[in-house]
Amino acid sequence: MSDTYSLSDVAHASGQFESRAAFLGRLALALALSLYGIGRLGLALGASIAIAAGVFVLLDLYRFGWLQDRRHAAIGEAVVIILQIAVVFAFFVLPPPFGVQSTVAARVAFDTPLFLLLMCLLASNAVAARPILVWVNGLAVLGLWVAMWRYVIDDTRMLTSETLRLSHYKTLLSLLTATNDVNYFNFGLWWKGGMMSCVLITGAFGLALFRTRRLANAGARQEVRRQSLAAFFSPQLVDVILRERNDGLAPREQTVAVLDCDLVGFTRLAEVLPLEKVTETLRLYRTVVEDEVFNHGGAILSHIGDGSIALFGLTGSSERAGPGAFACALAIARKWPASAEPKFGADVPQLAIGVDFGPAFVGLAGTDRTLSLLATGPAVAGASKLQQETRASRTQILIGERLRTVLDDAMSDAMLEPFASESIQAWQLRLQ
Amino acid sequence: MVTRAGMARLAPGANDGRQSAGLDAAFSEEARRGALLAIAVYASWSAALAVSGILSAIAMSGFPAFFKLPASLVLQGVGAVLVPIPIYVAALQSKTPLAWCFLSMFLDILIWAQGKFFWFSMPAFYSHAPLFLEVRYGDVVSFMILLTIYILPLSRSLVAWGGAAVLLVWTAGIIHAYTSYRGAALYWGPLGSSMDRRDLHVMMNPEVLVPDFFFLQLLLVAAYIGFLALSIRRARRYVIDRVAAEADSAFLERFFSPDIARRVGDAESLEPARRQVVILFARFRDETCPPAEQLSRMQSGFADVERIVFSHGGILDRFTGGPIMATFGSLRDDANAAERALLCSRAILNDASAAARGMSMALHAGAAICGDVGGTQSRLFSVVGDVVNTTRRILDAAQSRGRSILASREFIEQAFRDDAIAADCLGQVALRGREAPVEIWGVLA
Repeated sequence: MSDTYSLSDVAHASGQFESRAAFLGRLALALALSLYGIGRLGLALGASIAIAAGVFVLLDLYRFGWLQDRRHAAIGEAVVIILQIAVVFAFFVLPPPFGVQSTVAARVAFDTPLFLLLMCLLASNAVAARPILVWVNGLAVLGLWVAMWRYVIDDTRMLTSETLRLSHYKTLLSLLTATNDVNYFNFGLWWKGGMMSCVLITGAFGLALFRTRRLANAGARQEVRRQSLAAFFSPQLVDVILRERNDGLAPREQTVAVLDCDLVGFTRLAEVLPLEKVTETLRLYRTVVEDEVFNHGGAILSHIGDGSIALFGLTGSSERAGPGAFACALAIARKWPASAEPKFGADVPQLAIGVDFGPAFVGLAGTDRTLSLLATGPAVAGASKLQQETRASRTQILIGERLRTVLDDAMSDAMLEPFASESIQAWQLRLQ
Repeated sequence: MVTRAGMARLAPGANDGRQSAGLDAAFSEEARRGALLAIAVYASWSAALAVSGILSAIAMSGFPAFFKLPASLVLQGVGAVLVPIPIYVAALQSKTPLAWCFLSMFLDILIWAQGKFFWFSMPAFYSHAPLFLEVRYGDVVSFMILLTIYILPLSRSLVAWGGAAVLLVWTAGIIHAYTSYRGAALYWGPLGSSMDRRDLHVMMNPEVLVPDFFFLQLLLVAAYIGFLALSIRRARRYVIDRVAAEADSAFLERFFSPDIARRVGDAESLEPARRQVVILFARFRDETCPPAEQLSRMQSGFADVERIVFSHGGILDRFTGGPIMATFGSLRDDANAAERALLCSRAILNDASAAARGMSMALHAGAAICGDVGGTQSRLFSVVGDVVNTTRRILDAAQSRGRSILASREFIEQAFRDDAIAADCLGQVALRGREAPVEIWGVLA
C-alpha cells in the first residue's frame, strides 16, 4: 500500500462522507426496489430482483470497502461500475432464472423505469468527483443500450414503423394503440429517451466535474500565492496584491523605512527556560511585532530567531513610510512589556529596535511557492546596525539620521535627542 | 504531497474553519459563471430541440404542413428558445445571477411541463390524448437533464428547489392528465409470475396507467435529486480540501525538500523541540553590478544553493536577499548532521553556478529550539538559539577575512570524527556581539 498520497488522493479520501452517503443511497435503493418487487411481483420474481440487488450491493461493498485505498483504484472502480450496470441490464432484459415463464417480450423493458435507474447510478457515481467514473458509467450505459436494441430487434416478432406503416392510422388513439403494442419497437423513444438523454446527462456531469477540477486548481494556485504573501503582508494588503497581480511590487530601487527588532539576550535565556515558555514567548513576540507592523502598513521581511525585520513604504507613498515605521517602533515598545509581563514579571526581555530610512532594492521575486520578499541596501544594513547599537543606549529605540530628517520637526524635537556614538549618527528617545 | 497522518487533519469537517476569504470569493465567482453557463447550455439545448422538431415535422408531413402546426406548439417552441435570452442578459448584468438562474430554471420547468401536459393551451390534435402515457415513455428524464444542467453553479439549494418543483409538476401533470381523460383506467396487476400475455396486452393499452411505474419513477427521480445534491456538496468539499492540501504542501515545500515535505505532513513533527543542530550560513560575494542584475544573480545562485542543500537533507530558511540560512538535524535528531553540512558546503563551492561559487560560508553546531513558531498571521519553521547568532557572526568573520568556509571547533569535532581534519585552526577569534572569543577553523574547500 502506498505510504504517500497525491493531492487529489487527499481530496478523494477526505470526501468519505459523500462517498459513504452515495454508497448508502445505492444500498437503500437496492433494498427499496427488492422489497417493492417482492410486494408487487410476488415472491418468485421478487426474489430475482433481490438476487440482482444482492449481487449489485456485493460489488458495491467490494468497491467501497476494499478498493478505496488501493493503487489504480479508479480502474478497479470502473470495472465494478460496468459489472453493476450489466447486472441491472441483465435483470431487466434477460428472462428471470426461475419461477416465471418467459412470456414477456424484452421490449417491455423500455416501458419500465430501467433507464431512470441507470441515470440514478450515473448520478451516484458522479458523487465521487472523478470524471473517469462518469465517462465510464455513461459509455457503459450507451453500450448496453445499443446491445439491448440489437437484442430486441433480433426478435422476429418485432414490429417497426416500416412494418406497421404508421401513416395508415387515422386517429391518434389507433396510432397509440399500434405503437404501444407489446411487439412494437419504438425507435424514437429508444434514441431520444435513451441514447440522447444519456449523452446529455453524462455531458452535463462531465462539464460540472471539469469545472470543479478547474476551480480547485485555480483556487489552490491562488491559495498558495495568498499563503506565500501572508508571510510578509497583512491580509488587507495581500488582497490588494492578489487583485493587482503584484505588478506594483516587482523588484526595484526604492526609498523605504526599515525596522530591525530583537529581544536582547533572549537566545541565551532560551537555553535555560522550559521549552514551552520559550515557544510561547516567541509566538507572543512575533504576534506583537506582526500586529503592529501590519497596523502601521508595513511588511514583515523576516523573522529569524528572536529577530524581526519589517519594511515600510513598499506600497503607498514613501513620505508616510518614515513616520509609520517610527510610530510602529513606539507601539511595539509600548505593547511588548504589557503583553509579556504576565509571563516574566519584572524580568521582561528588553527590546532592541533600530529604524532607518533610505534607498533599498526591494520587491517580490519568484512565483507561487517560491514567492519571496527581497530587500537589500543601505537602509536594511543601517537598521541592523542601529539595532546592534541600542545595547549601548539607555533607550530601546535608535533612529537613523536619515529617518529623523523626514519626521515632523516638532515631534522629533520633543521626542528625540542625539545618541553619542563614534561609529554611527543616530538619535535616541528623549527620557521623559 | 502529504502523508496519511497529514490526511487525518484533512478529515471531513477539519477544513470547515480553514476556508479562506479568497475561496469564498472563488465560489461566488463560480456561482456567477455557472449560473450564466447553465442558462446558456439550457437555451442551446432548447434551440437544438426546437430546430430538430421543426425538421422532423417537415420530414414527416412536408414543408407546407409545418405551417399547419397548432399555434400553441409553435409558441411552445419559440418560447423555449426566446425566454432564456433576456434572462441570460439580465443575469449577465446582475449582481445576483443565481437569482436569475432560479427564475430561469422554474420557467424552464413550467415550459417543459406545458410541452407535455398542455395545461394552458391544448392543441386540438391532443385534446383527446391520454397524456399520462408520459409515464410509460419515461419523459421525466427530460426534467432530469434540465436539473443536471443546473448543477453548474454548484448550488445545492438551486437543485433542491428545482427537484421539488419537478416532482410536484410531474405528479400534478400525470394526475391531471389521468383524471381529465375519459376512459382512463388503472392497471394494478398482476405484475408477478401469474401475469400472462393477456395481462400484458391490457397493461400496454395506451388508455391504461400503471401506478407501479409511476411510483417507481417518483422514487427514482427523488433519489436522482438526492445524488445531485450530494454531488454538489462533494464538489465543493473537493475544492476546499484540495486548496487546503495544496496550501499545506506549499508551506512545507518553502522550507523542506519535496522529499522531506512528503514525510512531515503531520503537524506533530513540526511541534517545537530542543535539538542538537548544525547551522550553515552562506552569503553571496558583494558584486559591483547594478542592483537588478545583482538580484537576478542572487536568485539563480539561491536556486543552486537550494538544490544542493535539499540534496544533502538540509532545511532552508526563507531567502530575503540577506544571508542564506540552512540547518541540518533541525527536524529530527541526526548524528550525521555535521558531515552532511560539510559535504553540502563543499558541494556549493564546487558544483554550483558562478554566483554561488563565490560565497562565504560559516558552520557551527549547538543546541537550538526547532519547529513551527509562527505569529498569528502565518506559519514559520524556525530554528532559535545562540548557535544561530554565533554562526551569523562567524560568517561576518569569513567575509572580512575573504575565506570561503569558516567553522567553529564544535562543528569541526563533529564533522571530522574519523578522518584526518581537513581544516586549519585560526585560533580564538573575538566576534562582534559575543562576550567570549570563539575558536575558529578554516575548512579546506
